[in-house]
Amino acid sequence: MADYLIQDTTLDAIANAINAKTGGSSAMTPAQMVTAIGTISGGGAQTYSGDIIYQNQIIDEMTIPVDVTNKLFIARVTCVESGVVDNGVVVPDVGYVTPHGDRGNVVILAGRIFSQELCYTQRYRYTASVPDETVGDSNASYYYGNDGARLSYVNITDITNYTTNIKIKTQNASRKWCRPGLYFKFHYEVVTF
Amino acid sequence: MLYYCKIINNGYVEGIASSENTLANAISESDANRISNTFLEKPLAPDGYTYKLRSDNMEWKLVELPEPEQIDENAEISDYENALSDLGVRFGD
Repeated sequence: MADYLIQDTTLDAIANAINAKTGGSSAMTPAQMVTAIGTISGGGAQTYSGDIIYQNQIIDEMTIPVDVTNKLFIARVTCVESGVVDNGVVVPDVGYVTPHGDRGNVVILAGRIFSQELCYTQRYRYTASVPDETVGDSNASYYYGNDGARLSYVNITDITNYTTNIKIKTQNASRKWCRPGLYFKFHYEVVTF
Repeated sequence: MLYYCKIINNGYVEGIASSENTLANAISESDANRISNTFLEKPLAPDGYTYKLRSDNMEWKLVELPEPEQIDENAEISDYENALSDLGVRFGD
């Protein structure tokens, strides 16, 4: 199985390999692949999970603190909390969903850290429930004008630092998905093989 | 038991991670809380600038923001929909 994974880096190959580990026989859809993250066990697979909090920072690159050096990996990143920083206090967003009915953004990636191949990215638009003028920092409207506090599409355009962690960059370097006045909590799940 | 670590990028602390898995360069929960509070108390920067938290001395540094780029957002949405379509996923599912 390991040889197969190394020789073929397509999404189907990876999905097939995962499916084989879970007893299936055909390629999985991306959604099924996400499910597989929670069900894979044994066979050398290692599962990691945790939370990352970003607040009051201008950020366009997300770092997942899992060492994937020379490993095939699959990761899922989900925004589980969001809010604004108001006078030093986090005020959570409540009572909204994205147009897709999701709580926040979901990033799914599969790849090999040493090949820089990116097989699939699922992007959801994230819209916070507050207008810019409430975020309390003049920098907050710097990138998006009056378009509200918004997480840009999160796309994987590069995987850097091959020897340590997974890094996810936004599609355009100017699209800072976390800005002063905003708070995000992400949950990550990573399976390495 | 939860482990904590700083998310560092290009010499600046950008976030705090927590996990039940062992994390490299782990810090204590109290340190994580202290850093979190530091983020909340970030000083207000003048227009065109922002403050970033240096990882070496945990002090704020005033840095200039890059010029924003003009983005054709509709094109990106189209790319996204096309990518999903190629994978057999219906947009909006």
